[in-house]
Formats: sequence, structure tokens, C-alpha cells
Amino acid sequence: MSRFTIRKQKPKTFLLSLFAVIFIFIVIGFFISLKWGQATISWRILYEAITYQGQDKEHLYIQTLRMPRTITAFVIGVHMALAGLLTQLVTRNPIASPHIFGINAGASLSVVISLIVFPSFTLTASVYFAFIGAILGALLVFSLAGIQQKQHVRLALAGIAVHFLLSSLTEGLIIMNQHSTDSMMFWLVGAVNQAGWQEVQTLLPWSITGITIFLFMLPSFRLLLIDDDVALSLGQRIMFVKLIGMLIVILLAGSAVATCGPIGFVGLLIPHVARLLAGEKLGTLVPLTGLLGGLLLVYADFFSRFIAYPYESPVGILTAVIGGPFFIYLARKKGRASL
Amino acid sequence: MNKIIFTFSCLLMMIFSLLSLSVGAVSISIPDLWYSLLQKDTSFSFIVWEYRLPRVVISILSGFGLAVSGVILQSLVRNPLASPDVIGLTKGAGFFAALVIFLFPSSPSYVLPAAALTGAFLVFILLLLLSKRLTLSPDAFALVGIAIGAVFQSGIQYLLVKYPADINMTLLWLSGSLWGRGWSEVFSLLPWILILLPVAWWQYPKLNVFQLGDEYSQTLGLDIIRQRFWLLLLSVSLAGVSVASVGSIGFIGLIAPHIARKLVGGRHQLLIPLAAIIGANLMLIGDSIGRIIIVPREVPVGIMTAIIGAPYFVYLLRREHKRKG
Amino acid sequence: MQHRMKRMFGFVFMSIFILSLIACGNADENESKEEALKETKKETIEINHELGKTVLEKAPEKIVVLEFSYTDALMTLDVQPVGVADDDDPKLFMDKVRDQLKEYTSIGSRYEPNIEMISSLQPDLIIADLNHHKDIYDQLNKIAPTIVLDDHQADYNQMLDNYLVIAKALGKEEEGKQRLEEHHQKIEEAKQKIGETTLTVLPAVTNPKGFFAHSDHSYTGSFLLNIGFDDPVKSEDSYPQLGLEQLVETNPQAIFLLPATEETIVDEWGKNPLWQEIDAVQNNKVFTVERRDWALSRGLLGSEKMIEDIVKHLGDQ
Repeated sequence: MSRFTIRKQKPKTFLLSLFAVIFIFIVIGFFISLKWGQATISWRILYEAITYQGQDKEHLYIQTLRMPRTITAFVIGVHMALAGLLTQLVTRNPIASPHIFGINAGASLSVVISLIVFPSFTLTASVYFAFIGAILGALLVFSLAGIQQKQHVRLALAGIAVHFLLSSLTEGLIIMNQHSTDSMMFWLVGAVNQAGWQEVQTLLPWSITGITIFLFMLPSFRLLLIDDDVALSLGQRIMFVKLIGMLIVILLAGSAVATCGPIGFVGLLIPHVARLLAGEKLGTLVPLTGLLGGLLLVYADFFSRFIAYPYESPVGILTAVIGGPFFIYLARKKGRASL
Repeated sequence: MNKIIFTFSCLLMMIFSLLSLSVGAVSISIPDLWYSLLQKDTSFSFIVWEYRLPRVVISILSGFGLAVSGVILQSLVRNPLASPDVIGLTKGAGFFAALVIFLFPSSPSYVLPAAALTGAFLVFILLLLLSKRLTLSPDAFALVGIAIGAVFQSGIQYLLVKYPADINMTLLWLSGSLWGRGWSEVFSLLPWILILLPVAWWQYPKLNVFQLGDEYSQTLGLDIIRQRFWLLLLSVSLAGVSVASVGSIGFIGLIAPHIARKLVGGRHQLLIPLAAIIGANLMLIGDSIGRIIIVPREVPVGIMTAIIGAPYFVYLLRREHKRKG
Repeated sequence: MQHRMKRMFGFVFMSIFILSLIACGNADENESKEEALKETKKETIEINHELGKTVLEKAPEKIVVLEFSYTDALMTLDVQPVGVADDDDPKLFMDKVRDQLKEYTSIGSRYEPNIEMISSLQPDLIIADLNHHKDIYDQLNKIAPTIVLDDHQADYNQMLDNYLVIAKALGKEEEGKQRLEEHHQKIEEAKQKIGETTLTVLPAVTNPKGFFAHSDHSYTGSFLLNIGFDDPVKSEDSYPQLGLEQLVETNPQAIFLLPATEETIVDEWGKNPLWQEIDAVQNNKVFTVERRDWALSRGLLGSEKMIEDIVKHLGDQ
């Protein structure tokens, strides 16, 4: 159980410079995402566009397409990474993530159902449907596996079984409605390339709500770092904290899935990287996880434009390419530890 | 008691087979069915002999294959939630099948199952390599499988988004469909199942020991790693040939062993045959319902089995969970 | 079974017979054919298709078609199909086809047509698609002689070739040729009306989440190319998905939208000032046409409707 031993706190200067570096990288990421795409845009126009001094075609590319898209990518990354961290804390399972936990699949399923039953649904309305689906997915997994700790594998197996079950139902619905298939496919793999300011508007209230509750509950989440046996003496309190934790996960992951589809592996990968860099202390771990998540998705989105240039590829494929091998690595490591 | 269970489930299999022969877009009454089966030359001959009968046989064979593959895996991983789906076998097969459908759409029809089988065995090799030739604990092994499956799943989704024109064909294959399967598929599946199934049953003493844990197996003098290798290969082959002929139906391998274990317990000499029969039953009933629910179209059998099996599965696990506290 | 065996033997025998005739050379074949004609007054139709050769003893009467384009072809030849794979949604036929189409049985999805129902219709000819139905060719052949054409990946010219094959299979080779002549004439006349074809024209299927251009590798794109328009996308893919930025960069001079759903991503894009930057929008040359006419029907009627739409929208006033 190496993960739960409190690591030596990293020195303050290290942490400060770490945050500074990440911040710089995020800023660079934003700039390159705004600068490069299908159309070539000069630095001067980029400057004019972000200072809103021009209304030409090139300016509009940046102002109406690349900017909201990059912001959406960042926010989605933050959502997914924080949701992943929180799932790992609540379940005390290092291989947990909303993706492996039926939350993404549940949200996708209910969004697809809502699109079939109410074809003229707005984006905002489908967010609520995503929440319902996410809750159902999570409940199903937990009722199958329970939330006790040291159930890593059982939880993962139950989660993936539910994930496959829900996604096969989603696929079934898509097959049965074959003439709107193309647009439904979007719900099987995440993509931010069509995101506009409307998506940003839909996402932001949920980010603010979710992150505020998260920060507010931060002291209580420290309870989750204690072993269950000790925490048992704290009684009801711990259950309540876990419940709030899952609620935040559902808010963050549900809204992200509703706007951009399920983007896998971010929630799994980022918390581990953050932990490696900054240790267990939640005060630094949480912001670091969020920022790293945003960072990853901004860069993944940037590179996804060039996989099949000039055509876009879904960003989910890049996160899978990075996250997949890491998942395998983690599985091998954690599996050995549990022996 | 066990005798009753076996007789009953075999009886059920016969009833479901008859049902599967008689219902569909064209429904055939039982007397007509008899007549068609015996006379071979009635107006229903084609439907009964060339269309439904091979489907019934394939349902049964692939149900056998998937269920037994699940039993072996669950014993290997020592976890009742393992299945060919979860450890990535069906996803690997699906990825290769999707590659064929998208990249070589005009290839002859035997290429697709061959590719699917290749995919399943590729996952097997990956499992071997990544689990350090199976020296990892069963838990780690299961996690590695999940991870491999997740990676292939993203690969499939990438292909689906990249080539929107052929999505429907691919999704139909991926969800597992018996549509259009004929005698040629039966004859390519039959020998495998006929050989592998008895071999699997013959392994029951080892499987019994395996599910107890490595310490037991060692004290009983089993060369664990080597046995694991052969059992895994057996499981992969069973799932691989089934998936190659019916598409990646995942749920059977999870739920059939589960139901069987509930009925006869964990002794593999009973568990393997019963799980096989239950797997076949699920396939038969899923296919029959899928054929009549939205005539003239069909619901793929993989989705039907998921819909039928899911509630029961959840119920089973909840009860188990409660009992354990 | 015996009966079927007999038929099978008959079939095999016939094929061998015909093969040997071909081997004997052309002159011979003609002679013997004529002789056979005189003797039996019965004409056999022999069709080469993607998966081999099919021989029909007489012109088929009960025909099952598994693609929309085949229905289109049947309508032009005034033949009624008994069964059509129409995805269980008659709304997907173009108006002209639906008007001419009398009673038929829907045999379900084009991807998985209901084989039981095909068999219960007792057809004497089945026309199938290579991509979708190659796996069930043997089964279909046991129901009735089946011809398999490459329709799914076909461009306009391939469709014209397929049309002649279908006409021949129906025993209406002459009528087919005539109709094709008529078709070419119609297209020529329409071309005259259109006049200049220097525009770059982009047809695209749209839905709530995507804008799928039909490039010159697709059926619709190849037709436009054939008329003389230029394809602005130039993609190896048949249906590349475009984002707004890419669409503006591609800058087509005319757009034909083929909406798959009521609300599409274009509603959203229309609000973006960038939409106004596209030449097609500035020239008022964005038109909405029926997807079932442009992308689903894929036959003579479909193409004639397409060019009719084009004349209407782009023709010289």
C-alpha cells in the first residue's frame, strides 16, 4: 500500500517552480493552439485577434473557433482529472477513474437516449440527462463491488463489466437509429473540435460549482487518506464525505461527457502524475491535478489536429495513446503490490 | 438435485431450439416445422434448413465456447467478474474485424473471421508479454487484461469516427450478430468446439485447484505458470473461434458461468457443462427475441443477451454482495 | 431436398454448358444460341457480376432489391420489385420513386436484410450489394439467382455500368440502353441550361454534430465532377468531416446541404460571422436539397433529380 503512506513533503521552492513551469506550459499551449490549425495565421494577426482589434476572417478563426475550443479542452481536462483524483480517493483504488467506472458510459448512454427520444434537445438539457446516466452508472458499479477498500480488482472488474454493458446498449441504440448514426458516434469517443462558446457557457457553471464544493470540502477529504479501519471510528462522517465526493465526480464528469463525449484515460493518468510530482498533500495535489489535466488536454487537442491533417481527429484517440500504456504499466505495478 | 438441474436445462435448450426454429419474420407452426424437418421439401424448407437451423447450431456452439471460456478465465483470475470481454479478448478481435471492414471492404468473406481470430490471439500474446509470462498475480493479470481491452476499445472507436460511412456494418459485427450465418460458419466452428470442449472439461481437476489459490496449487504439485499458460490458451481459443463466427458477444462469458455457479457450485466437473448449456440457452433465447421484436429488422443477439442478462446479473451480484456484508 | 438437388444439378449443368459454349468461340456461340432460340423459343440471360456469373432461364418477374439505387433502376425500366430493403422507412425513397412504386414488402435494413422474408417472397431474382451482402451470397443464391454489384463504393460512372447490368438481368437490355441514352440527353440538355460550370461546388450531409463533405470519390461528388463542376475538397476519403474553419478555408463557391436531421450543425454555424466569409454564402449559393434525392437514390432518377436541382439553383436565369 505504498500509495497511502504519506510521502515526505516536497520543498516549497520546488512546488513553486513546478507550478510556475506548468503555468508557462499552459500559456504556451494556449498560444500554439490559437496559432496553428487548418488556416495559417501570422503572429501579428494572432495578437490583433486576442486583443480584439480585428474582424477579418483570420481574426474570427481565433476569436470564434480556436479560442472557445482551447478553453473547452482545458476545462474538460480539469474536470476529468479532478473527477479521476476524487474517484481514486473515494474508492481508495489507484486504478479508478470515471471512465473505468461506468460513469462515462452511463452518461453517454443517457445522452444518446435523450437525443433519440427528444431530438431537439439543447446542449444544456442533455447535461442533466448525462448526470442521471452518470449517477446510474456509478450506483450500478458500487452496488456490484461495494466501496470497501482493498477491493481494487473486484471494483475494476465490476466497473469494466458495467462499462461494456452500458456501451453495448448505447451501440444497440445507435444501430437501431442508423440514419442519425454519424452524429451519435460522437458520444462514443470524445472530441472537442466542434466546441464553441456555447459549450464553454454550458460547462463553466458546472466547473465553478464542482470546483467550489471540492475546495470547500478539501479539509474533509483528508479523511479519505486515512485507512478505513481508523476512519471507521469516525462513523457516519466518512460516508457523508464519500457521498459528496461522488457527487462532485458526477457533476464534473457528467458535464464534461455531455458537452464533449467521453474522453478516456485523463482521469486515470493525471492524478498519478500529479502525485508523483507533488506527493500526497491535498492542498497542492488538487490544484496540480486540475492544471495538469487541462495542460494534457490542450496539448492533446493541439496535436490531434495534425494526426490526419488537414482533417481533425478526435482528441480521445491521443489521450488513449498516452493513457493506455500507462494504464497497463499501472495495472502491472498495482497488481504486484496486492500480492 | 444436480440431475434435475441438468435435465431441466437440457430440456430448456431443446425447447429454445424449437422456438428459435419456429419464430421469426415468418412464423412456422410446430406441425409445419416437424413436417419441414422431416420432409425437407416444403415451402419452409429454405427457412428451416438453410437459415434457422444453422443459426440454432451456431447459437449453441458459440454459447458453449463463450461460456466455457468464461469459466476457465474466472477460475484463472479467481474472480467471478472476469470474462473474455473484460480482459480484452473480444475487443482485440473487434479491432481487427473493424480494420478489415473499414480498410478492405471488398475482401472475401472469410477474411473477417480470420482477422478476428488473429486479434484474439494477439491479445493473448500481449497478455503473456505484459504479465511477465503469467508470473504476475491473477489480480494483476486481470488488470492488465482490462487495460489491453481499453486500449483496443479506443482503437475501435477511432476507426468508427474516422470512417463514418461503414459504421453500421461494423457496429452490427461488434455487438455480435447471427444474421446471415449459414452452414459454412457451422462447419468452421464445429470442429474447434468439438475438440476444445472435451479438452476443457478434462481440465476440471486443475481448475478446481486453481480457484483455491496459488498456495494450494503449489502444494498439490502443479506447475502453476505452465498450467496457466495452457488454460489461458484454451480459454482464448474457445472465445476466439466463437467470436470469429458470431462477432464480439461479451456478456455470455460473464453471466453464464455465474448462473451455473449459483446452481451447482464451484466444482468444475459440473460447472463447465452447465455453464455451456446456459450459454447456449442465452444465445438461443436472445436470438429468437431479437428476430421478432422489430420485424422486419433484427436486434443483434449481443445486444439482446445484454438486455436479458443484465438485470439478472445485477440481481445476482447484489445478493452475493449483501451476503458477504 | 431432391427437388433442390435437381435444380442444383440443372444449374451446374447449365453453367458448364454455357462455359463450354463460350470456350468454343464467339461465332459458335451465336449460332448455337440462335439455334437454341429457334428450338425452344426461350432465351437465357447471362450476367457477369462481382461474384461470378448468373444465368437466368427467363426474364425474372419477382425481384427483390437490397439497395435504394436498384429500386431507382427498376422504376426507370417500369419493373415493380416484390421486396425492397428500405431500412423499414418508406420516407427514404425519393418522391418520384415512391410515386411509381406500388405494393412491395419491406425486408428491413439494407445492412441486414431479412433473409426469411426474402425467401417467403419466393423471388426469381435478387440484386445485392458487394460490401453489405457478400457474406450471404450463398444463402441468397439458394433462394433465387442473385447478382451482386458494387453499389456502395460506386461513383457515377460505375452506377451507369451497373444500370446496364440490371437492365440486362431484367431482360430489358434494349430498353435499358434506350433509357440510358435518354438519360445522357437529359443531362446534356441540363448542362446547356447550367451554362458555365466554373464554380467549385460542395455537397455535404449535415447532422447536429457534423458536416460531412461528399468529395469527388463519393457518388454525389463524382456526378458533379462529371457535369463539369470542381470539387473544392479534393480528398482521398469519400466523406471527410469538415470543421467550420476548414470549410471557410476550402471556400466553396456553392454548397448543397443534405440535412440528415431537422436541426443541424449549420444552424449553429450560421450564427458565426465566419459563415459569411464563405463565397457560397456571400453569393447566396447555399441550397438545401433532399438527402434522399442526392445521396440515397444513386440511380438515373436520382441523378436526374440532382441535375434538376442544380439547374434550378445554379442555372442561367
